[in-house]
Amino acid sequence: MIYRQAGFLTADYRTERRWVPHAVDRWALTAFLAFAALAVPVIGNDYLFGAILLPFLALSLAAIGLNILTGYAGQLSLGTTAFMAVGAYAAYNLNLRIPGLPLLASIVLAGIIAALFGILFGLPSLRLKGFYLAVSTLAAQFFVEWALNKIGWFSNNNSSGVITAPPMAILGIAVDSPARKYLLSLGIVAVLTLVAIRLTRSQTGRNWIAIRDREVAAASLGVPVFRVKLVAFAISSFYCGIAGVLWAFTYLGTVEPDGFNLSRSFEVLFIIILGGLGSIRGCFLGAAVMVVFPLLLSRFANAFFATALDPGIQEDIENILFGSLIVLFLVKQPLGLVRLWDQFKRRLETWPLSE
Amino acid sequence: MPPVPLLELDGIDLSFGGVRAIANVSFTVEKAAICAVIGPNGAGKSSLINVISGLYRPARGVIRFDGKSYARLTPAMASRIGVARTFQNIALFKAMTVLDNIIMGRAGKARAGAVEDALGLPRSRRDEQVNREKAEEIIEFLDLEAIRHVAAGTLPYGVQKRVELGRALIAQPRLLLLDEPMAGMTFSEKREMCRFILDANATLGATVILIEHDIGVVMDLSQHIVVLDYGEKIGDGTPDEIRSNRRVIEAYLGAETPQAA
Amino acid sequence: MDWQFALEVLIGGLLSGVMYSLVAIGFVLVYKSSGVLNFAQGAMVLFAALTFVSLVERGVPFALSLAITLAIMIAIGFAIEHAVLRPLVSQSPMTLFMATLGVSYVLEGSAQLIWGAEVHNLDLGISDEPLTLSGIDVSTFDLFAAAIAAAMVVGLILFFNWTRIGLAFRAAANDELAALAVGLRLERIGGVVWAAAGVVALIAGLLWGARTGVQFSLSLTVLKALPVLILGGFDSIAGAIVGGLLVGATEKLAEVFIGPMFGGGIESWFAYAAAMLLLLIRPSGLFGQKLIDRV
Ligand SMILES: Nc1ncnc2c1ncn2[C@@H]1O[C@H](COP(=O)(O)OP(=O)(O)O)[C@@H](O)[C@H]1O
Ligand SMILES: [Mg+2]
Repeated sequence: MIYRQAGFLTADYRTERRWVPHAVDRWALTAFLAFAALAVPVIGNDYLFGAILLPFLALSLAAIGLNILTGYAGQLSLGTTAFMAVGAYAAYNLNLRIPGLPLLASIVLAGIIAALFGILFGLPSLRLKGFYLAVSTLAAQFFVEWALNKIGWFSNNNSSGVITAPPMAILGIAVDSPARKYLLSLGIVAVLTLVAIRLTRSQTGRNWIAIRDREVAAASLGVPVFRVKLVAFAISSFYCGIAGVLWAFTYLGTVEPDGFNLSRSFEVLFIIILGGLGSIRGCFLGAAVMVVFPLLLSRFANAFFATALDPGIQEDIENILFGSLIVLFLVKQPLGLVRLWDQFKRRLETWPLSE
Repeated sequence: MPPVPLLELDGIDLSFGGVRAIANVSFTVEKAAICAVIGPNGAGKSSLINVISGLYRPARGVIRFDGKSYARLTPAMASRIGVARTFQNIALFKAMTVLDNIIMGRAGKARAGAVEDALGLPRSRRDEQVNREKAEEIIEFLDLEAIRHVAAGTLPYGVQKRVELGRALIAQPRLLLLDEPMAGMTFSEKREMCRFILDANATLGATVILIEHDIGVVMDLSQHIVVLDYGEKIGDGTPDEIRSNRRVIEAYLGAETPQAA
Repeated sequence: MDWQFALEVLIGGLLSGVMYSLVAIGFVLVYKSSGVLNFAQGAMVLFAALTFVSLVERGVPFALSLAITLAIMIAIGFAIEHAVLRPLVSQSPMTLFMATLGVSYVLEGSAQLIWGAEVHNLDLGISDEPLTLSGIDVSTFDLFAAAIAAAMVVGLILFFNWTRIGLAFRAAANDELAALAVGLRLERIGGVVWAAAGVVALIAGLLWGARTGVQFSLSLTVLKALPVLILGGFDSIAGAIVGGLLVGATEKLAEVFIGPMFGGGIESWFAYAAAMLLLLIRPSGLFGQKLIDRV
């Protein structure tokens, strides 16, 4: 009864287009963000930040990037981590080679470099569709891995292409503890999420969905199809690039090119399938599952077998479970966790008046 | 000097592999007219509309729109010069709401770019406001108020056809191409659709090219009829002229029942 | 330039291209019948080879191991079709592809969970003495693999041209509605095609496994097959063969003659780059015909 759809009527278009239409939801979200920004840094421990929240935030952002391209614009990409790698290595080099460049500026520039790279590999979309285009993103994946391994300049001549995050500071405040890295990630992810929501609800977002659902119809309505695809590639890569920076700088600290391999690209694809294709909220739900699930699995094994699982076996079990989950969701709930969440909410709205 | 016709097709030719879908077809559509294109299945009617909307590129021939010639019309160009259309097999964006589908009809008129959209800059907001107001007019015009927030893919067939008409009308087209807008509709749905088409023609000033199999509807709505058969034009004139055209009667209406028309 | 050496590289490349074709043919079978790009084909190759080699290592006779593995692969083919593809019928190609990606994770995980993740040597009893033909060294094993591949293609052609189920498959691939109208049972055909893909995976797995050792990387043969499919078309067995040969040859030639300029290792992406280039010139591949979207 506290959560009632019937109380929600709008008197003007502005109200209707609010990001979070329900007042109750709005309060809940504000409270949640306040909790995440004010309370979590105080009560969290290094394990929470290092093993859960930092990878969660980076993966959520990468998932938003991929979802823009694949979930909204319908262009299947298998090269997500190539764009993450470009972002990470770009930020590293910007930091190394331009002394005094502010951290946030180097992050944004790294995103822009990743975006340009995305445009380059999106160019084939002028002529290619579907699987053919997906294969072009695979080419990006393999090419980037190879280039970062072979061309020493990218890693300041480290023999195996490894880069290490520089000391970070914002306005003179060192970002050195896990809690501060968490706050940096949270800030970036929160802002970019709001931007993504805005985009997907604007004409740009409608154009993406339109070329996904019916490209021919979109074209004859005057949608500049090729440009819309390129914009999707650019923005998607921008997000993935910045996610790569977070992954390298705040989560791992030290990364090698092989850390950005095809399996990780698939991991991000799985996140958006589980969370919900074409949903920004779904990215967070999917990423949460992706991060927490393996941890739970090893906890469970510890409790059950009284010993730690062999890491190889743990990985096999993870692969089997994730693979099955993907199939299960595609068959039973192609709209993902976010759909389950909405159905649950609808129940709450009408309870106890209807079944 | 006679007024410039809105559309002139001159010697249009189009083939797919060995199939000659359109064979040297020429005709003229006057401004503010309702012109029907009829002919048996596979005659090349849809192909003709696809040519006029820039989706198929003819091997030969010129399209003149309001006096200007176009040898290579693209869909984007067609939309810019004021051509809007519906599809024989409904081509709505299934996952979008009725409202968003209709707003998509103004996609070619958007002024804000992606960055403005991302940051919610004034031009993006203004686009959004104007889109919404225009969409609301169309929604009212087509009686779609009750379903404006419903996903288009879930609607009944007849309603989807109406939404698609709305998506075409919101662009305020000078030329409206309707590919079998009443196929598969009930009698009352057809009557409603006829009213919408006549209104669009009279009050919104759109010239209409209409493909339709129901001869009764065609004779009632149009001042001008073009008949195709195996890609060739076999008749072109007023309903009365078509009714008495020997070739049309033989090829299309069936030689034995001319008066059935 | 040393022509003899170049020729040797070319022949070596063509023969390893045969190995690519072997995997690609598995894709083509499934794609042709149902429009599914089966990413799990590589995992099936791994699963088959690992099952076979593990049985042999446990003392099961060669022929019996082969029979058991064959039965398992056929069962897996039917199971995938039944549990995954049938419920997803009429979904978009992208959804189907993602489902097969999920299947490949399940297969890879189970193969290694059941049989372990060690590298196994697989000896098919074929010597790998180089054969010297007018001064050019050719691997006997590669020739054997090529012969097997040829036999398999002949087998497939016979199957599709002479058996009832094969003819039904071709009818369904041509026109699903018409096939339904004359009363063909499409579900059965789907199952059979997936089973056939399982058998092809077994053959590819044995040959690849004998060459590179049976290990996880067999699963990555799928990545070798994709550029082959781009070149040859997703739906043509002949295309898969020509594409495989082409990729094998250019890849080896490039690795030997261009690779050193870039510090080596270019085979991970060279085939993709070549395929992309071709696509930009001919968007429908080497053999595909240009189709215009119907509206
Ligand atoms: N995209 C296409 N590819 C191949 N053939 C086509 C295509 N579009 C139309 N055709 C062929 O062109 C001919 C005319 O079709 P169409 O214009 O749809 O006729 P109508 O709308 O009068 O029924 C038919 O033979 C049809 O098969
Ligand atoms: Mg038609």
